[in-house]
Amino acid sequence: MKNKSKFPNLTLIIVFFCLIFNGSCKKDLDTNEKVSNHEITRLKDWFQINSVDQKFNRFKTMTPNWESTLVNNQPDQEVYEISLNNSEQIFQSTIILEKGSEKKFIKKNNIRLLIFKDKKTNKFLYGSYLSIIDERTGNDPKSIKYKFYQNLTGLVLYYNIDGSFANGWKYVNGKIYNPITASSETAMINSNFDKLSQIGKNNFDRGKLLKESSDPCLTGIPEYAVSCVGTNAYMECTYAITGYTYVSMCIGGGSYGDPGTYYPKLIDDPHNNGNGSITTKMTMPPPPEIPITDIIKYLSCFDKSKPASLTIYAEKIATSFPGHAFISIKQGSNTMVLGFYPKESFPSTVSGPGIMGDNGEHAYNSATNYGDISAEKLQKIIDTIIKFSSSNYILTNNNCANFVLEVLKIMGVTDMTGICTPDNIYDITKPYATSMNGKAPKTQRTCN
Amino acid sequence: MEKPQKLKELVINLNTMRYLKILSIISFLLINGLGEHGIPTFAGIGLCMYQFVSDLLNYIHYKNIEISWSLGLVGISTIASILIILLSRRYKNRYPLLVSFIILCCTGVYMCGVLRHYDKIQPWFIYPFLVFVISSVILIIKNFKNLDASTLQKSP
Repeated sequence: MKNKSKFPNLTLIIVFFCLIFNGSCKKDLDTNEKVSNHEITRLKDWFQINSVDQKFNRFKTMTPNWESTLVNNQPDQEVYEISLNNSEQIFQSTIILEKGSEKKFIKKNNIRLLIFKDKKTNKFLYGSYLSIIDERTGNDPKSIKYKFYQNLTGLVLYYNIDGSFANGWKYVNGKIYNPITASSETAMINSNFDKLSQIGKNNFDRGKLLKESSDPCLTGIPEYAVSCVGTNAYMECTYAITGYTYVSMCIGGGSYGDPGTYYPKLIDDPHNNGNGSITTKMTMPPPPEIPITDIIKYLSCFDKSKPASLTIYAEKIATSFPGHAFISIKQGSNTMVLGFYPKESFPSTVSGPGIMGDNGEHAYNSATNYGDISAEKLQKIIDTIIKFSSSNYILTNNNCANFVLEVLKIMGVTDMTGICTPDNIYDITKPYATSMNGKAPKTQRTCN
Repeated sequence: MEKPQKLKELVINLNTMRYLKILSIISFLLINGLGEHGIPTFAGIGLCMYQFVSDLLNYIHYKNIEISWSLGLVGISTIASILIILLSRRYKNRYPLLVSFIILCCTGVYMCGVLRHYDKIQPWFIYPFLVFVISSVILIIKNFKNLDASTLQKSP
């Protein structure tokens, strides 16, 4: 008699589901490999063409050490990590250093060049400078790879290829503590004026307010470099601050993209009139197709003191499952079409972080124009957009239709609450619809 | 000696069928949408049913509301198909089972939007879909195998 197990198929089922979960959740491993000579030549060419505007580049004296190029495999991209020859010993620190202590802090910072290549098209997409500042002794930032910031306590700063600051992340024990966004010296000075106006002249504290801000979010990250004076026989070298990176660091605020990554400055983004890094084209889920990584910047073209025109769009569930509801705001020659989406793929599509997505040229079943809305209402709508973009997407009660519902509430059209679907939005807006079955306008922005 | 052996084989076969049914249904419910919202099938069925029921209820109060009959058809037929698969008897209900799988395939394709977004295929779509298709095919083949009358009497 055959000694058959009673439940051989249970094992089969477990194996099947293990395959599903393993295949879906497995993160691509970092496989750092040396790069072929042909690829290095391509990288050199790309860098030469794209690093023309070096006038204000804080890293212009740092030249790539192409022989050290390593490839870092990411799900959709290959990221080439190239160390830099640092003749001027440029480094960054999170604090203002005491004289003589600089050498200790050089080792806590590593600046390198990153070049991103699309795996599908085999084309180089963009480049960035990565600066890793370790705030804990013992870690060697040189060994830390892009997006593999295990155990890091410190800052990860991304600069565009022209040397301008792009975005960054503060890490504590390898976990993101808060995002870092660009600020300006003007914001810092204004903030200092606020502080100065509040304190007595006697409490100026010997100029220590220079890079301290009354706004706890704003800070300046100093950049040091060595400068030598003398002759060949005797050379006196000292470290000095050569500049600052003005940033805003606040818990939970400011940044709306893929955590830990560099937000590229796109040159030819059709949705941005070639002006910057606000929307990013994605070819694979997670949705949406064109996520808005920095909603504050995206909406910055609007003058909040002036009226704007609002249109509500609804695409029915049955038309293109599961439908969609979105809005467009038009002010002068600025038109922004946007809707609310889950930021990541399943299971976050049921409940997870949300993100705003650009809906230029999205199909709709009904479009309802509510005419000119007051500046006050525009401000409220912008606040709602910002609130939703940093909120969680919950399929049942905080989805794209709920976002539009909130806007409709501001307009005083409805007071509906609870579960809302694109069909509900369609039913609410249809009696006043100005257009049926068509495509929304393209997003047009006239500012940076 | 031959009869107990046959019965044992039948029991093993029935267990296989049960597990395959469960595997097939769970994998179907986990098929992930490929659109910008990317919702899974179980949420899609819930959405269809919610919209259909809420349209029906709202229609009583507000006559100008359009009832989403197509969503009702999709939702009800999917739930009915799942129930038929789970409750079907071997060989006896082979045709309803086959029809149910065809319905599930159609609703699955509609809900995940693979015909529109085939360029966005991702693991949460492909693995559950493959498991669903493979387990369904095995189940259909096994169901169409004829058994002798005496064993059929005892099948659940």
